[in-house]
Amino acid sequence: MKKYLLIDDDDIFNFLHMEVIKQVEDSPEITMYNSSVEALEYLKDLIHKKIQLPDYIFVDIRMPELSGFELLDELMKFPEELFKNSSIYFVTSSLDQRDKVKSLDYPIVKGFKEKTITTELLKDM
Amino acid sequence: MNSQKDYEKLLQDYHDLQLRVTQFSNIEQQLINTQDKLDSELLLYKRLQKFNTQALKESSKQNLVRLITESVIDILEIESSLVYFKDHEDATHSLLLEEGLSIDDFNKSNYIEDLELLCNNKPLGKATILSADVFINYKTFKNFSSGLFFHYYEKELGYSFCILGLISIEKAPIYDQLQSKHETIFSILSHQVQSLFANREKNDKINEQIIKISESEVELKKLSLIATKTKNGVIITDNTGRIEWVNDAFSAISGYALDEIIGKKPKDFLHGSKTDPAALKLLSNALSKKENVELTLINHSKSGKTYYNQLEITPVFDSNGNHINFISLQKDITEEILPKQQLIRINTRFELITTKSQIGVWEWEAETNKLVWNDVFLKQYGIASNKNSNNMEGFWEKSVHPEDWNEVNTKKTELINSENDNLECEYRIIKNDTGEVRIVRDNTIAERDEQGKLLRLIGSSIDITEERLNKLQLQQNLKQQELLSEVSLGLNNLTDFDSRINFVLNQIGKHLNVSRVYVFENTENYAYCSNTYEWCNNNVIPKINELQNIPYEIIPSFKPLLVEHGFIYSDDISLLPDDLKAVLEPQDIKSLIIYPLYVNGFYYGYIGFDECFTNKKWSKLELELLKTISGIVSNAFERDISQKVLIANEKKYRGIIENINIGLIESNLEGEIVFKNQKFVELTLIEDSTLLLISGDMEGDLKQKLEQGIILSYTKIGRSVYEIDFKRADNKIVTLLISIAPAINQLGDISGYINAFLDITSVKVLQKNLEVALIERDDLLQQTISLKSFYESILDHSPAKIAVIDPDLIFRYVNELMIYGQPIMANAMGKSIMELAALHPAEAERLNKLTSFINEAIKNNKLIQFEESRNVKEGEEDKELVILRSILPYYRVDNTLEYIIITGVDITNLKNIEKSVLKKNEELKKINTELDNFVYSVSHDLRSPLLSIKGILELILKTNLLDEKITHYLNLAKTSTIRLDGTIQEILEYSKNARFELELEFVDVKEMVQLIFDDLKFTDSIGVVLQIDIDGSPIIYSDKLRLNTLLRNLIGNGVKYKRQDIVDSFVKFTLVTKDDVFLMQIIDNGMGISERSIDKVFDMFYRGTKLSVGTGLGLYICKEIVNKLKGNISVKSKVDHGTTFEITIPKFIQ
Repeated sequence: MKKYLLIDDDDIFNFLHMEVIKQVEDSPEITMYNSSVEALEYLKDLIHKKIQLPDYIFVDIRMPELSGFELLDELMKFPEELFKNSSIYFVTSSLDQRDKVKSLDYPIVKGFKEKTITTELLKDM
Repeated sequence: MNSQKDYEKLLQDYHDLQLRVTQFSNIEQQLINTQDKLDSELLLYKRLQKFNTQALKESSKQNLVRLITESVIDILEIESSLVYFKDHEDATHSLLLEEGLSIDDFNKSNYIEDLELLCNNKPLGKATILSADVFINYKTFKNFSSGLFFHYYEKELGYSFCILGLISIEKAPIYDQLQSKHETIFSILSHQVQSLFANREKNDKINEQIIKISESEVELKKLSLIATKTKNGVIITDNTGRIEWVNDAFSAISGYALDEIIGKKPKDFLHGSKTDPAALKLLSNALSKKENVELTLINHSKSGKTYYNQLEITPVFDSNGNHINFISLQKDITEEILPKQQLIRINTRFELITTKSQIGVWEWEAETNKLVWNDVFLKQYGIASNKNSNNMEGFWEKSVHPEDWNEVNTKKTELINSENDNLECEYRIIKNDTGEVRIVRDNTIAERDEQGKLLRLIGSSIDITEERLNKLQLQQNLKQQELLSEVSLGLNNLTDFDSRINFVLNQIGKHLNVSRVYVFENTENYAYCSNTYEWCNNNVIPKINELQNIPYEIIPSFKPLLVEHGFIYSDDISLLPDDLKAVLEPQDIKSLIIYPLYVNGFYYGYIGFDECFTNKKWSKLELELLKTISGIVSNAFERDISQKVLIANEKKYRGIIENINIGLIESNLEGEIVFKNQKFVELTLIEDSTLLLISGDMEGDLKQKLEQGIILSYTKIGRSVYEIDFKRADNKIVTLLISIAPAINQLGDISGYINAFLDITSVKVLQKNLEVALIERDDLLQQTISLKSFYESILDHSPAKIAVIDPDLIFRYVNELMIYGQPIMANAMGKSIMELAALHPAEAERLNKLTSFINEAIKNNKLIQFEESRNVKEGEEDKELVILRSILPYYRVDNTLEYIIITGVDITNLKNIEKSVLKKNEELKKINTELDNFVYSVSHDLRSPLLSIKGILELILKTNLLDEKITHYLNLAKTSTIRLDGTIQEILEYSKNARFELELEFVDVKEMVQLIFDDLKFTDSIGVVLQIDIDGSPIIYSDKLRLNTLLRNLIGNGVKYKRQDIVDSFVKFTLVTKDDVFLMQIIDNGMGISERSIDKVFDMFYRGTKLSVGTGLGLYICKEIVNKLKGNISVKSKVDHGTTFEITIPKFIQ
């Protein structure tokens, strides 16, 4: 049973991605946040409690308050090995190549995916 | 506390002990001193003892006195001593000996005088110490500070003596002061001496008497025996000379019997008129003095006959010295004396002759082997004393020159052993005293007895050295004169210079019979010399080939020696300086002489003569000869060189004359042509001319004469010049300038005339041309001046500031505009930049900067530009002026710097524009970025809902709950969302391509293509295969984002428009790197593009198919991107077969 954390200010995308995951996975444990700030709190809490981080974390880039990059900046403050079992992906509808280039700055980020994630894409992950 | 006490006690004890030890040592010292004193006294007595012993052994008085002087010094340890022994009876036996004083014959009498004075002043037989105040009164002793004196007079034995010991003032400090101790010892010593002398004198007297007595006894016996037996006459007289006794022999000689003459004096009856009065006087003098006398007188016998009487009279004394009588011994030598006198006379004469004639005479007795000689002979042989030699052979062997000895000895031995009685020979002798070699001619006569036995050899010897030498010299002189004349003759007769020199060397070499004769000449600026001529004797190896280019450097002493002394002479090479030795010794040279050669007063080389076998000594005559020869050779070289120069000069002048552009003829006074050059013939075409003597001024006839082929000759003195037009044989008229001058010979007389012909035809033409040219030049000058003012006016009105400076940085031209903004330039003309800077300190910095730019421009020979800004007042306000300055060094064709051109252009406005452009650019960039952000934000915000719609649609479509109709509608909605998304993306890409500058970097195309294809994988690429074919490196230098967009569009199209009816769909990417372009192809086997559409595919908003999801911007964007990359894109396609896009982009994009 895989754990998923979906972070997107747009609830529709969270919903869509949950549905796609459900199509692929039998009974996934999916946590969703439409606030990146709360999502960070959640992750920090997990880390403090030493609870296993989710297997997959999908992060939108353009979010109010705390952008995807800023969220990752916060996570990068923790030891890298904490995330070794977590696959973190940026999931965005941005066409700005600069965003894609910037995503390479985060070693714990596995990839840069365009919305919306399809079942094919998910299987490939 | 206890220990402190103990310590003090201990210390006290120690001091006591020390005191005691000191006392002991003092006592011990006293003991030692006493001991020493005793020892020294003992030593003194021992010395006295020793002296006594030695003195007794001494037999001679001289030695005894010597011993005394030495002993006084030794025993008394004083500086010097003196002993004077005076014999009152016989002054010659007196002795004065000293030690440590310097008494010689000159001051001896002074000393004796002083000593006598001392004796008179000091008590007899007593030793006394004398001090400086005593000595001060004696001139010989005034330098002495103290002394000891003893004197004694022995009246009975008739002698006195004194002893004096002395210490000088100078040396006084190093001697003990004289005191009573010395006095005592001296006294002892003196008394010892006194007794020694007394004993000695007494003994002597006694011995003398004993000898005398015994002698007189024997004598008496002998005398009486002799007196009676002898054939000689004997007379004994009393002490007054009266006859007491005569013997029989006397009676026989004189005819007087004893009783006739007893009591008479011999002179009363024996002497007569023939007796020599001088001899008589001598006799009577001797007798009155009671001395021995021996002489020969002519006596008269009783019968009146005269006879030669050789007599000897001896006075007789008794033992007490009283004169008793005379004994006279007489001999009649009349028979001996007459021939002897004759012989003496002859001998004297002979001696005189030999002395005067310088004939040395010697005589050798065979029996005694005794050799006697006369004074001349002594001188000849350099024998010092008139000693006879008992060893004839030894003498000759020593005196005759070793080389001649054998011959002389053989000849003399032959003479002795043969029956010959005469030998004449000449030989060399070595003088015994000086070692000088002389030549003597010796004539020896052998004297033999009847049996032929050799009695003696008598020789006469004449020194013929001078005679010989003169003769030899004469011969040599003759020979040398012959040689010199031969040499001179050879030099004059032989034509070739080399054979001349070789001839000279050969002649001298043979004459001197040396090993080698050679000549060295300087080469290469006198730093080297080479052997240029050589003559070698038969058995001598030539060296000429080895001795080339000898640097004088290796024989530094050679030249100075040669030049300073005038020659180098050595009969022993090993005595020469080391550098010369080092060079000469390996050549086996034993003896040499070298003379310098001078040509025209300069050191030219040298001539040398080597002797390799003996240490030949060169005679004065030879030296002079060689010097003369060196002069002759020098002259020969000088002449040769002069001749060469002369020949060269002659050649040169002949060449000049032949090649000169002037025709020349020379005639003699008779009018015959002596010389004409080729040019004359060329000029006049007169080959053969008749001569005519013309007198007076012939100018009028000149042309005519020349035309008739007559050469002119003038009796007129001085130079005349004529110009004529002469018509030659070929009818051509030439203008000739004729100059006639007398030819002057060495004596200053006119020997003929020289006519010079100069063709001035062309000059005439030129002259005309020149006149024309001058006029033209004036025109040109005029033009140039107007051109100059033209250009100047252009420059003056040029929009640029212009200044021209020369290489000395002096302003040569400044245009009007230059002065604007720079008022100092108004008077810059003719001034240098430096002068200007000095005049205007405010501008100095700017001008110095200009100077450094000018120097840089000159150095690099290129245009230099720089900007300069300055503030100018324009009306009321300050304005900043920006000027672009150019400095151009201007070089002439021959690469010499002629001018530096400085221009200035006012670029103030340009600068302002540039500034505003830059500012605007900045603003634009900012706007662009903002726009970019805006576009992205908008596109993102637009896409987000679209994508969520699309997501939801897909979700719905996957529910499987829908009927066909709804599914169809939903699919339509999905397609619309996809197309809208495509449009948004394309618009964005177009916007990006249009707005952004190229960003070039290295791109791995292979990786890029693979990623693009992978991104497409989950959309449409199912069932499509990607093929990549890259020839060479996959890395290209390009704009990564644009290239990515370009390839994504094209590969995407290939995938999107695949044929649905086939299963082997593919998209192929190829890359070929060419010389200067990258060639890429994207090939698919898809649907292809219809011919109708293919020309429009790159148009904006063109959609070739209804299947297209985009806005029709994709290929348009591709074309725009390729354009941006300065490349080309083309397409080939066939429906249902596929499409090929071909892109070429340059390797390097500017």
